[in-house]
Amino acid sequence: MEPLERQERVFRARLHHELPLWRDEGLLGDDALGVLAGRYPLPEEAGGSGVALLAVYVLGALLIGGGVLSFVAWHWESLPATVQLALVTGVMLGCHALGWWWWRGDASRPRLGHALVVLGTLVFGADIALVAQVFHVHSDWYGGFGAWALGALAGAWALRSMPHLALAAILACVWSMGYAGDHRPLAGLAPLALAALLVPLAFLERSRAAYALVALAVTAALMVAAGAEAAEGSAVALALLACTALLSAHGLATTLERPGGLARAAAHLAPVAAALGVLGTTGAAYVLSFHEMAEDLSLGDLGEGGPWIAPAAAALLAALALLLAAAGSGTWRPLDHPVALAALGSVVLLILGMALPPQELWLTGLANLALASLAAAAIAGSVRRLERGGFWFGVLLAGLAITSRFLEYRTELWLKAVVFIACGVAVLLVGVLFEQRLREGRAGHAA
Amino acid sequence: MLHRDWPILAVVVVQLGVLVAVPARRVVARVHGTGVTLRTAPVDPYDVLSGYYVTLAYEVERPGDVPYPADLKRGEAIWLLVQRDEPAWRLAGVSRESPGEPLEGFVALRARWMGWRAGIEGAGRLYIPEARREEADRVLREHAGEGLVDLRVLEDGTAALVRLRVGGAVFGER
Repeated sequence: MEPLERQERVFRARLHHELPLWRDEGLLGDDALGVLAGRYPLPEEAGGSGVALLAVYVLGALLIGGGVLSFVAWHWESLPATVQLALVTGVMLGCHALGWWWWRGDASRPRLGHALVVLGTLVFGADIALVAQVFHVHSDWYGGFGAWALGALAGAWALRSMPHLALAAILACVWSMGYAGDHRPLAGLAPLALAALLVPLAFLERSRAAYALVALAVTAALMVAAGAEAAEGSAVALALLACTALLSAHGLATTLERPGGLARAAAHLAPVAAALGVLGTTGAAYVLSFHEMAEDLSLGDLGEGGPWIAPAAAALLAALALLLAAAGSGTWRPLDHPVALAALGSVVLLILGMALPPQELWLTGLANLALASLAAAAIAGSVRRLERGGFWFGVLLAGLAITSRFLEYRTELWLKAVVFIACGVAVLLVGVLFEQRLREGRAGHAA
Repeated sequence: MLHRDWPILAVVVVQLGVLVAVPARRVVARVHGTGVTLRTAPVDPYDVLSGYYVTLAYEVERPGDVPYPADLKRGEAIWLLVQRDEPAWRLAGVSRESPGEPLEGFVALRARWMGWRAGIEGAGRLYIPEARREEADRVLREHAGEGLVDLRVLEDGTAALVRLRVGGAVFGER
């Protein structure tokens, strides 16, 4: 971390520690406190060591929570049910009370206190299991995860706690997957509710890690819901492409530099959105580039998944609206993000391929074209900006696509040998050339 | 204090609310419900004890002499009307609609059609303590999973499991 950035983090952390004290002393009103806290938001992490420490504490909390769950599952019969319930609920309340005191009360051990509150929410999960045991509550298997997710969600919103948000995202995702299987006409509502409850919080907190986790959870839940609804790969692919289109559009659109909280948060989260959009689109294009996978997928063959066209179309329209808003800003530079642009174009190609007759293998051809455009965009962009990650992503993607095609189609062995050797030599050559250019570029920059 | 501590208080209120809501109907059923005894039927004689709970199925859930509504869909809600008998209550009728307030000696149970039999909601699983697992496994095997289950049932069909009685052993009573 750069010294200046570290100083900024220390300043903000100190300011957030002082603000409540200034308010208590009457130096600041609530309004002024809110303005200052908004103008100098606490970074996601109050320094690298702080994150590591919190991660270790949360890991410890997870292990202890697992132990409490196992203890409950052991069904300690020697204690009466009321004592068991009182004991586990008491542990939960004790963790919350002591953790809160250390975290925000005297603030003497903020990270340990935060972890203790997280442990309280983990013990809350054990408490749900104990209540189910004691009263022989047997509902759908996912019901317990939904109840637990509610408690974690309350922690995420009320405490602005990212470990709570992560726990809520995972639990709600599991709940949504179970709910989708049993409530087919409403299957898509659960992932949308998940998105509506968690995405705004990730924006408010400007947490890239939280945004990535929520995006993954919503995408996974939507794909499972689509699969449960239609038992067709077409609906699943459509759900994935809709999510990656939105993420890629977010990654592209926030090149606009507007003032204001939402736009700044969107700009801060844009790199994560772009990365997830590119990875999701690349995964979809790679799977669909195999003709055996692609020949069964068609928009004309959605069956009971037909209604999934509506949310997918809505997501695509939302992506288009984002791009139009960015274009209207006058400062939009989409070519600064060639891979996200290629990902968005690839989504259009793949959906077009699904709309064409499946027997003629249009989808396979367009998926291969999408892979090629993604690889080319990654290599071109990284050579221009001298970024190693994008370069090797593009080279490896191109190599993987070519290798996969030669393994998929039956060709003469000598031809395979020639192509593999040529690919290997090409990768080595362009790699050496790129690394040389990278070194020269850095030397020139340093001079 | 409230101004500073409301976030954690909100979390505690929500979590305690969930803990109360999860068993609420079962607790009400245990206190105010009508006592019903049903005879169990073996689900799978080779796997009566799954981990830490017994999977229960009941005689009244299986189509027999009493006619079921036509064209039931898997997962569809139905009502089982059971009539007092000894030692266990017996099936008197099955309907898609709630039978309303049953007559004296009758109780309506909420269930779902599982494709080949009904499943009474909330009465399919009885948790067994680890210390009694071997005993439960042995007794259930000896009696091929057949026993009597005591339930408490509210007027809206909510059932709360009270105990399972098999060959002189009693499970589930806390």
